[in-house]
Amino acid sequence: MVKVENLDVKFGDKKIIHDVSFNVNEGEIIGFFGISGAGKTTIIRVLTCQINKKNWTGQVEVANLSPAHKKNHSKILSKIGYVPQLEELNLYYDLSPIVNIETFASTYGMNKKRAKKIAEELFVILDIPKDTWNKPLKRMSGGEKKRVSMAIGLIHQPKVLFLDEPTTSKLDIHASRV
Amino acid sequence: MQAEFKGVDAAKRYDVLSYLKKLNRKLGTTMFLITHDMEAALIVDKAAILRDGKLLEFDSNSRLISTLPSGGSVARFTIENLNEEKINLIKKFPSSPNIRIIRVGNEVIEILMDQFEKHLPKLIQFMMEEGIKVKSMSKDTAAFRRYFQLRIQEEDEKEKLIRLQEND
Repeated sequence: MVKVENLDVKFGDKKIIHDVSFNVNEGEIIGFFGISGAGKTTIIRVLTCQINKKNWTGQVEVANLSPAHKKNHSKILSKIGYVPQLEELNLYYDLSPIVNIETFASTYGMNKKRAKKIAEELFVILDIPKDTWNKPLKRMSGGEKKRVSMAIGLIHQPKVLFLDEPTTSKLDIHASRV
Repeated sequence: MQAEFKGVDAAKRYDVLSYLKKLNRKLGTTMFLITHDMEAALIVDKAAILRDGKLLEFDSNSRLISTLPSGGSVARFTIENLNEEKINLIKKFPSSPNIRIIRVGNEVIEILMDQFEKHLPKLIQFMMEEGIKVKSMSKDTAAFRRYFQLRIQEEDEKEKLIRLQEND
């Protein structure tokens, strides 16, 4: 599903990633562990077409497509999902979970009916109470908001989902800074 | 600054991880977790350990832990007035030159070594002879967090050695 061979990433004279290789099979969960500045996010940014090809070398494939070619970017982006660390980056708190989902689904060209059907399936898996589906998100608990954020990342049924610090909340970030 | 997770909201973190596992099982979606949180290792099939832009390891956490001395068997000691001097003394335990020590608390260290069961009674005796007062001791198997710390520590030490050799 994801193949990385001899990946080097360089910005100016500074080499950020050194000869990284790995293979990920379909359906695997991979944890990228490292202290800040270890290179976790940089590798993910290559996989998600966020780093210009002039800054990296090596063989990279995501769902059989290489981010090296610009013409593949939209195809890759349609096959990957992203869940940000902070829920507020992909949620509108004044809108309901269903309307949030419909809003994001429209950016993938999905119609409302299909988006709603997939959303409801995801909400059931994620134990999001049915009586909250049509109420403003701001009334939900932090955990429920996080789960809606996960559902948004999966609404277009991506092959690969990237999650940035999924277990860290805004509160944790604040606590770590104090 | 590093994110600090311990005791922040453990229940919520486990909840997120269990839902990710559930989604993965039901949908078969490949997932990448970019994280500082070592507890996430509980649900991953493979852990990628990165340091300074290099991929140090890419394997299942059970396989990684099994490469530790004695397959990751750990002795946790609470030691009265623990300090660096006492830790350095324990490092000199003659029976197991491959001894690995991590300080995990003010008075607590964890020790890994080759032939764990054979050497543990000798280690306790050695500490007593050296005047190190052990308040309590327990045995466990290393968690991924410990593997990660040791692996990073190993690289730090290698780098320090190279720098020293360069300066000579």
